[in-house]
This record gives sequence, C-alpha cells and structure tokens, in this order.
Amino acid sequence: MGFEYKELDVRPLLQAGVEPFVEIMTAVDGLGPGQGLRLLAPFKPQPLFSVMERKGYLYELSELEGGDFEVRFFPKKPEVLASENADDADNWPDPMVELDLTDLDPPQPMVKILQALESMPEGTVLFAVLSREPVFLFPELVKRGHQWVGNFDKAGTAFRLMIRRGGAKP
Amino acid sequence: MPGAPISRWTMSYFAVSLVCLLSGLAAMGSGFGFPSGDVGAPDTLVVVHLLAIGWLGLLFCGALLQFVPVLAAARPRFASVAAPALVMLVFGLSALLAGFLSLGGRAGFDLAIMPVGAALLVSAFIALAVSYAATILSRPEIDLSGKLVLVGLVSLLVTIALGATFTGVLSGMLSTEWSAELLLRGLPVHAFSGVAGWMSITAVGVSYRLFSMFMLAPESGFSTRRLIAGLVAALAMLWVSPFAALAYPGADVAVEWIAVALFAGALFVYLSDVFRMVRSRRRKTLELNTLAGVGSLVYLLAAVVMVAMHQLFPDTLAFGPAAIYALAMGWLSGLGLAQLYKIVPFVTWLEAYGPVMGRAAVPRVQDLVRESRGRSWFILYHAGVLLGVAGLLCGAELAFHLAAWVEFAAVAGLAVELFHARRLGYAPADIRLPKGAVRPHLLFANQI
Repeated sequence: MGFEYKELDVRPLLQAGVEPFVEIMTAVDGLGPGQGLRLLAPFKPQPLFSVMERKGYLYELSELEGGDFEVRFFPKKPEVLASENADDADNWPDPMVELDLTDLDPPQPMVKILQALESMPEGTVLFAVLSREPVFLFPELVKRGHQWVGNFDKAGTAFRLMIRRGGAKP
Repeated sequence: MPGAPISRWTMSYFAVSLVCLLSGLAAMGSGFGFPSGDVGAPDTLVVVHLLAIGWLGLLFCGALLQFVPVLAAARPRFASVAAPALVMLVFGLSALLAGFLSLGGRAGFDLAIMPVGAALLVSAFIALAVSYAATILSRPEIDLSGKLVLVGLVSLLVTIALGATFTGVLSGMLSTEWSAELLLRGLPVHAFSGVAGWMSITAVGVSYRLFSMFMLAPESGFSTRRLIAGLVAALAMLWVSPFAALAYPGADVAVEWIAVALFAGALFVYLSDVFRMVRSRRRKTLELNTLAGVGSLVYLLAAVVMVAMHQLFPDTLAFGPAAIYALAMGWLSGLGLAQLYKIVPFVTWLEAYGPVMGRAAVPRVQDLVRESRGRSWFILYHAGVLLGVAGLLCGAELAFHLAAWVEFAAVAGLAVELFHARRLGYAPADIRLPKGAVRPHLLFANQI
C-alpha cells in the first residue's frame, strides 16, 4: 500500500498511567492526505476503530511478538466515478476552463457546464467544483460524446468534476 | 453508469394522486365519513384510504421513482415495475373502496372484493419497495436520506401487511376467535405505521436532501445515529405494544408512551438539523417550495403535542383526530404539495431543455411557474388546514366541511399551475421551444 506512515507508540504512555486518546487524535489530525498512522499498543484498541472510520480511515491489525499490537490506519480512497466512455484521465491535458459552482443551486451548475463546454475545442478539459454530484448532467454529457471523471473531496463537501470535450456535434 | 435518468411514470403517479386528493377533499366537504360518521365507519375508511393510498401513497411512490436514483446517484433497479405497479395500485384501491362502500351498504359488491384489492395493493407496494431498496443498496455507502427511506419502506411493509389482514377480517374470510381483538389492537398500529412510520420517515429522509439541495446548506454534521436509533426504537415500541398488552394487561399504555417519547425525541433531532441547515444556508432568499416545506414542519410539531395531549386527556377535545388530520393534511400534504410545486417544473424543464442546454437560449426553471399565484394557493391551502384542525378540536362540523372546500379550491388552483408548467405555458414565447427541445407529454416523460 502506497501510504506513508507516521508512528505513535502509546505503550510508554499507558505504562505511565496516561490515557492516550488525546495524543492519538492529535496525531491523526496532523496527518496529511495520503498519510497513515502506525499505532503500537499493548492491546487491541477496539473503540478506536469506529472513531477512525468516521474520520475516514480503515485499519490493518497485526500482533507483535510479546502480545502487543500494531495497527495501521490508512485513509479510505474516495470513490472515483467515471463515465463508461472515459479513458485514463491521467493522460488528459490540464484544464482549459475552471469553474467554481459551489454557490449555485440545481440546475444552475448543469447549465453553466454545458454552456462552457459548447465554446471549447475538442479534446480540451473543463474542471468544475460543485456542492454535489450533478446526477442529471452525467447522462447528458455522455449523450453529447464528452468523457468525465469525478469524486468528492476528502471532507465530502465538494464534488470535483473533470470533463473532456468530445467531438460529436449531434 | 452513475447518474440518474428522468423517471418515465412519475407524472402519471402525480396526476392520479391529485385526482384522489381532490376526490377525498370533495367527499370530506360533503360530509361523507368522519366527523359526521364514526371514526371507524365504512364511509370514513373510504375517505381515509382515498387520501392515504390514493393521494399520499401514490404521491410518495411517484416521487421516490424519481428521487431514489438521485439519492443513490445510480440508475434505478427494476424500473420496469413502475407502470404495472401504478395500474395495480389504481385497481387495488378501487376494489378496496368498493369493498368499504359495500360494507356500509352503499354498494352491493361481494365483500371478497376487499382482500382481492388488498392483494393487488400489497403486490404493487412490495414490487416498488424492492425496486427502491435495490437502488439504494446498490451504492457502497448509504447516506442519511437513504437510510431513512429504507426504514420508511419497512414501515410500509408492516402497514400493508396489517391492512391486508384487516380486509380478511372485515370481509369475513378470516374469522377466528381473536379477529375482533386483532382489529381493535391492530388498527392504531396500522394507522401510525402508515402515517408516522412509512410516510413521515420517508418524507423526513427526502426532505434532508431536498432542503440542503435548494437552500445550499452543508449536508454534514447531521445527528444520523441518534435519529435512526430513535426512530427504529420508536417503531419497535409501536409494533410490540399490542403484544405487551397480551402479556401484561395495561402494559401497552406504558409502551405507547415510550413510543411517543421516542418519536418526539427523533422529531427534536430532525428539527434541530433543519434549523441548522436554515441557519447555515448559502442561499439567502428561499424559494416558495422550501418555505412551504419548512412551514409544514410546524404541523408535525403540533401533531406530536396533540398526540401527547390525547394520551394525557383522552376525553377532552378531539386531540386524536386533530393530530391525525394535522399530520395528514398539514405536514404530509403540505410538504407533498410544496415539493410537487418544485419537482414538476424541475423535471419538466430538464426533459424539455436538457438536449439543447448550452446550445440555445432556454427559459429558467422558475420561468415555468408563476410564483405569485402559487403563493396565494399555498396560503389558502394552509388557511384551510388550520380551519380544519380548529373545527375538529371544537367539534364544529361546518367549519370542518368548509375547510375541506377551501383546501379543494387551493389544490385545484395548484393543479392548474402544474398543468401550465407541464405545458411550458408560462415560458417566454420566443424561447419556449428552441430547435431540438422536447415538448413534454402531460402525464408521462418521453423515453430517452
């Protein structure tokens, strides 16, 4: 797994009689995107699993020699949505148009995106940030021959959408 | 493929449901059934089921056909059940009503028509519920709205199972020594599972998404766990209360109290979430549908207070019937009409102008309605509901009948507005139908 792990050993804290929860949460809040946490503890930190899941982390557990545990928390990958006709978006050019549509209520984001696409040359890319998935836009994009990929940001509050202008002009 | 298509039959469901609402209001206004007749009289059953299944049931099912795929951002599963289910619901409801009329001596059908109608209704509702549930469950993660709709669907199943059993008892086909007991104890459970469980919880679920969508409020920070846990516990209490009475006579009252308290707690959680959404919204001026929708929440609060009063003082004023009326006509119908006023123009606009959007000038969604007219109809409607609640509380039958006609006029007015929206009647003439736009049918969406 391609995550970089920060390590936190709570065994000395527990030995000293200190409750390590705050320490752990401070460490978690300091994690960057794509970073995980390697936690060393003398027992399975069961209650922590659901707390971490709500914060967007999954875990792998392994038992160490001597009965201690190593837990590796790593970020959940946000689900990436894509149109069926989409090729590898890593090879798309940089966006030619960027739109922030988070302050528009439906259906305005859909209107703005379709308008912007009309004036763009074939093969160019539009990037838009919306406050939610534009579910009615997706079928229309495909019908017009465009490709798209998109996902929510880590906090789940913004949907990021990349659209590559297709050539079809029905 | 992610993304939601336009639902083909939603408008058909809406049209039939509006016809049922107008028929039900006309019947109420003419003094058919309660309060002129008894609460459990066959005439009352006709009106109640015309409104509960015909109006609210079809409205909710039609709305979910469109809304569930939006919620799940996925194509609908088993979408082909929509049209046959509508036909079965219409025939099933007609048979059920014919049975009630025969039960009251107003028609001469064999009472076996009731269970036959129930079988049609049960099949249709189960088919639709399976379709909605499969669509929601097709996503790896289910949000609060989706979970609430699933809880609502479970309540729907309990409601229709009880209802179908009652038709067996009432028609005499199911006759055992505990038939009378079953009716007596089961009826409140049937009514509350339907109104509070299936319809209110579903409405709450849908409203979370719609409110945040049209107020531009963040969809996070909701008290999901507490709300779901409270509602599931409340429903469980509601459903075990008749059995509690069998085990310990009198225990059902205590269990009912717990259920009421749990519902009230869930309501508090819901209202505080809505309040937070209203406060943190980024869209400052609210549209008519959101205002009318948030306004209908007041009835929900009033109804819970009246249910509690009914438990405390069962013999003072008609709190029970007034609470049911406030829930059905104020909260559920008020929210339903408010959302119809948004969904119909929105979906019509999408269908008509989706193909040419960005390529030609098109009207805005709000150009398909005249909000000033809509506002007058909503004010009139709620004046009618308030009059109806007051009439029931004070036992003033004339006021109750008058209230029904006031509501009738308002609903008819709104129906005309929706007709204009479907016909693109208010759209500016020069951009009404640019080349490539699709003229929508009145009663269903074009196959895309």
